[in-house]
Amino acid sequence: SFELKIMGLISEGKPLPWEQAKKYAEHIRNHGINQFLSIYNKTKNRDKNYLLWGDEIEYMVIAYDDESKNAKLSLRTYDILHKLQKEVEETLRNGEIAEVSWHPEYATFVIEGVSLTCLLQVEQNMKLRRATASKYLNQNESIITLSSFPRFGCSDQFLEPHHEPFGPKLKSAFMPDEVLNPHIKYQTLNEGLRCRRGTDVTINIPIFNDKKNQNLFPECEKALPDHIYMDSIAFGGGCCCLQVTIQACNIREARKLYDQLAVLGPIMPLKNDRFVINKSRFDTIAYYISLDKTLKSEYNGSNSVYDRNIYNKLIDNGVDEILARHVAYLFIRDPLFVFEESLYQDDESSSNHFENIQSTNWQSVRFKPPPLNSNIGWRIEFRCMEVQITDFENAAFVIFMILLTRIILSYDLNFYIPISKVDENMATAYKRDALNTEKFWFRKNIFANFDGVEDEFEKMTINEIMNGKGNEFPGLINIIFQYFESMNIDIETRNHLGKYLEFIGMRASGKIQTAATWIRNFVRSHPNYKQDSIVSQEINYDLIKMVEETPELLSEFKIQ
Amino acid sequence: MSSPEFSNVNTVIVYTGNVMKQANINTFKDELASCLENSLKNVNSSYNIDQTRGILEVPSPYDLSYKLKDRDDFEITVKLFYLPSSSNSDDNPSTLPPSYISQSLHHLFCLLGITYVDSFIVYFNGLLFDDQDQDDSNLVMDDFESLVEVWKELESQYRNDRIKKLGVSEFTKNRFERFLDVVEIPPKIDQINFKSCCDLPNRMINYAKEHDIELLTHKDPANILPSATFQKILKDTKFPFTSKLLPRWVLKYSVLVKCREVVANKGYIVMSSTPTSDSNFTYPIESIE
Repeated sequence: SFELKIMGLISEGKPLPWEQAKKYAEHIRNHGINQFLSIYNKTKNRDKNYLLWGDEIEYMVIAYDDESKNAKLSLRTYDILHKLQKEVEETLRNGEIAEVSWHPEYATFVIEGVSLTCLLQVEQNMKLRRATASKYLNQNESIITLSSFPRFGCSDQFLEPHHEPFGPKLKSAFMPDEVLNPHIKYQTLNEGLRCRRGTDVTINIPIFNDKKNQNLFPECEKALPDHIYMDSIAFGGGCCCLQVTIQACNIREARKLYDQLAVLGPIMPLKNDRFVINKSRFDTIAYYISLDKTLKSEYNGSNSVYDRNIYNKLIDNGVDEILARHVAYLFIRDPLFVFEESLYQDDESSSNHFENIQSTNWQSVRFKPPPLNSNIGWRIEFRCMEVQITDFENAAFVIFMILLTRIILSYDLNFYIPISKVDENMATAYKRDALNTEKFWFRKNIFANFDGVEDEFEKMTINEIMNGKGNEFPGLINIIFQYFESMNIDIETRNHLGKYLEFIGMRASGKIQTAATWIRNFVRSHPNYKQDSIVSQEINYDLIKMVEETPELLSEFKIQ
Repeated sequence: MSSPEFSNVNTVIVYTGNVMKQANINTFKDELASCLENSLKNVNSSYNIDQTRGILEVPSPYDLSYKLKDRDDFEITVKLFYLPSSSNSDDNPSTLPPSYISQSLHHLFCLLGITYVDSFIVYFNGLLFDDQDQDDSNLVMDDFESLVEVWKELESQYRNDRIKKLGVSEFTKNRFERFLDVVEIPPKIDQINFKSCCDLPNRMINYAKEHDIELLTHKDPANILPSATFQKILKDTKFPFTSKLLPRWVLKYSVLVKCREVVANKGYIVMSSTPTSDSNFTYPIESIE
């Protein structure tokens, strides 16, 4: 097995403080482009790469204080991670294959997937990850996958060990600096992000208004009434997500899948990333990049932000206009951290500067060139899914994404809608209970042979998109089932995959609750709840215990 | 189309072309019927006649001049359906002409520009899978001999490297055991109908594991092309042929890209003929280009 995901920069050494790092922005951008061109020219004709995939799950470590009924976020994550990495190193030293690799935020699973039966290994490996990590936990600790910790930033003790907020780095009224990953890279990342923005972060999220309202943040002038106020990017960074990376057979296929998956992003359960800074580094994509004839220029809209100099340089060096614009757009960003030791690189044999800029753009889908000196091909990373509580659910969504790419390629599906509509869908997706109550822009006819109508898209519910709409649309899940009919698939694999898809269908139709709905219902029906929108320490403790102790049973609990 | 040209024709072969490119809500209800209609609607633009054999071929507008390149990159699986009307006349329906094997292979090879298929699955009309094997009385002695004759033809194609793997469909454990007693080359595949609501057929699963048989699934209906359906399509598309045509066999083919799990091409070939015609035309193996 091998890494599908390159960890961005894992340089040792101290990154430059922001004031100094700023000076090297141009240098890094220039060399990053040279490095991109070097990789591009070496690998643009790579073809017939196999279907390979990997997924990443972010975990939380919980420390229980059973006496005071408090479930806290454990800051021992770094120690635990270190032990896990040592275990992997030892495995590799023994000449064995490491099935899992661990990184500061996530554990990744890489598989050589060459048949649909291999999809069944996804859940197995997720369970293996959980079991492996559990070996290094203390008696009072557990590991869970929850999209965000309910009492993150609350005024009493939510961290183990406890620390006070108002630290010099985050300068947050709620978050102690200690929530930041101790790895120097992340500390600098935070500093860079804060300095770049120039202002403190202000995030207001509408509160779930229950019977009794309160003004929760009387001292904070930036807090809006009836909103939960957050003042640090650490709040977003504390959300856990599920990512899938899929290898395409060549660059053309990767570009097609990038576009199609970007459109479908908002339809999938989304990570709670509430940064609505328009077209910031955390957002939907800015441009479609496929070479397909189905990509009409109107879909890209009137966005014309990109670095003109870089664009011209790419064009002069043989990159087509569409891809040049994509790269030139990514490169408007400054590097967020700069290591003095690795400033000067040989652009033919290093990709650090390119990865520097590439990895600090956190869009919903990422287009990944092959890494240097490997046979790995062009890949797409689907980044925006919310992690689910159970491995069954996580596996279902990973498998669904992979099968979705198979039907896109087999049927030559066209999901194109204007990017502005994708943005609207993203905003819609963040509304409470959007799954059951909202409609999303969706292309009316996704099949190749279309006779043409005036408006190409309409609003559909998630249920219609997934399970079908009467005599008009078969639904993505039924298309996958029909795809199975063309494949040679054994009966046990077919049955098992069918269960995952059935689950997704029931999620889409509302027959099975989302985690968010389940959590809300749990809180509201808890004896300790005072109808005031507040999740107390005790409610949180019971909730986390439930999440942790009954991962399999939880699916039953969530069926309405 | 003029009638004199058709005076010799007693067989009509229709190609659906790549159904993946013709997907719409209708192909999710009845893929074969829907795509046959697309081809037949277009028949005035192009057709071929083999005057010697009296065969009219109706190609698909969806893959004219499609020929497969880099054959080794693909895995090609075909399934031949012997239809209820497979025999020469309405009143002797249980005959299964072995010639359908070479016919279907020949036309597929010409269509795709290939010389072999990876898997060939044969479905004998009327067989239904039942894991408990309660009742095999529908498979009477005559039928069984007919099956074996067809199988001999398949074995011959296999020995000539036209087929890499042989398979059957809807075979229960009992049928398998009976079959294995009399055939030389055993089936390596058994493709059975998948019903998501039902329990897994564990008896067959265990038997398949013991005997190294791939137990694959399908969702094809028991009769993939009823005569009435076929005749209605001919009528709806105003097919200019005066005699009645009975569908004899359907060949479903899938061209899969290896190690990428992508369907490159999937389609059907339907052979139909007049009720009294001799549908036993054959193509010697050597003549395949």
